[in-house]
Amino acid sequence: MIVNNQEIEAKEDSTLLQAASAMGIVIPTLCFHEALGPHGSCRVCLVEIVNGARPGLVASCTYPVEEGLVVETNNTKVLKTRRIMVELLLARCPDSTKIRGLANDLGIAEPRFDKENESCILCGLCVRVCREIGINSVGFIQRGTNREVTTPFQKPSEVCLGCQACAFLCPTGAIKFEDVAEERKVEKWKTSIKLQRCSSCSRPFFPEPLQLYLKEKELLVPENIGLCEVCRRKSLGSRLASILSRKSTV
Amino acid sequence: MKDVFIELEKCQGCKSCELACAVEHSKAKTLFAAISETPLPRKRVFVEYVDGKRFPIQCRHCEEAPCVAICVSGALSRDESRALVTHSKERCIGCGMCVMVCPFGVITREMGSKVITKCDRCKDRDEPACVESCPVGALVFTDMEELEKTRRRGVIKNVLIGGFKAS
Ligand code: SF4
Ligand code: SF4
Ligand code: SF4
Ligand code: FES
Repeated sequence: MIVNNQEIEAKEDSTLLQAASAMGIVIPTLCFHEALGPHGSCRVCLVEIVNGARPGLVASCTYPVEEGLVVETNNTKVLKTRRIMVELLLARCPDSTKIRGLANDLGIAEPRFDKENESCILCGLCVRVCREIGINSVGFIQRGTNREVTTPFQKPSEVCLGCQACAFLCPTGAIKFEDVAEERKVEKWKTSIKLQRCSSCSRPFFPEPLQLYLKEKELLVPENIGLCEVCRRKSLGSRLASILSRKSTV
Repeated sequence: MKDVFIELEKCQGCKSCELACAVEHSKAKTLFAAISETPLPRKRVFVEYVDGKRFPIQCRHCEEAPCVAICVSGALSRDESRALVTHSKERCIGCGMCVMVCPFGVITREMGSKVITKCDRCKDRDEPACVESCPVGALVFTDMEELEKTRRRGVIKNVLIGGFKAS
């Protein structure tokens, strides 16, 4: 393959994005995540296939490498279209720091389109991460301009673990969790989750559904259940003998 | 294979290791520049009281690591050739399950960082920063054989070796 005038060998079954980043070429992405795979919805990762079976602009995160492909990741056409994609996103979510940053990098100060004051760009990372964990607490509803991410029937989720992975991955900060006393609240999902207090320092820390989930996987050491990570370190003395594989004393 | 051993009697609680660790994981790798970085670099080693004594603890790089077992994304894995439990920032989905299952409480997670933080045994250096920084030698980077030799000479008394065992 030839990428940006450089001849390269790419691994079979890899995508253009992977091949480019293996060469140290940076292509901006929003909806791609290494563990969750490509989604192809944000179109920020566009590159141009200059010579190949289907020349034109493609999403590099989904497009597989092919023998003899000639690709450009940074030419005028790519940059122009990428700018429009980002400008549209910026108009949709003018308050997102991540999108502002991306826009800045591309030299966009203000979008020319009407601002919407949305916070979600429908990248689907939250939906995909929740599915990956095996919970499926949220999903897309409707099509077109009314499309949104929400819980089933837009009711409080009955399965959410309160792990906050969706909030950690969301590129725009649209999902916000707030711990108030013994509740972990997440407005976007209209859900509130009970937090168990640490049996030592009494800090609310362990979402009850998450504790159940981990208990079922049999990965909680009996001595640990109910201790937050800080108290787990502090109480090591009394637990060392039972949890350590080897301890040497003379 | 070399490991970080902790000598339980020696630690004075000065927290030099905590500081050295945070600096090692900063962008600039100097204390002066590290304190003005955003986000602030974070430590992976913690000085705690145990049985009335101070002692440092960081990831034990468990052979049967519960954190690796729970990680759905494959971000945590055990590199058998180096006997290390490694973490990939790119793969991590920030679910925090590892924070909950680590028996030693040495994984931390903060909103805003997107991923978790744990000891990587200083991937950019030969001797880990915490070991190098300890003024009293409470942290020792050596292998079992060497450790035994030192121990026979009576220099070392009470050492913490190895990680979690599944009962
Ligand atoms: S000490 Fe904790 S973080 Fe380190 S390998 Fe063991 S379970 Fe994982
Ligand atoms: S927070 Fe990251 S490293 Fe920890 S279990 Fe989840 S995906 Fe794995
Ligand atoms: S080995 Fe390195 S990363 Fe691990 S605790 Fe020590 S200084 Fe920190
Ligand atoms: S990163 Fe490729 S389409 Fe979003």
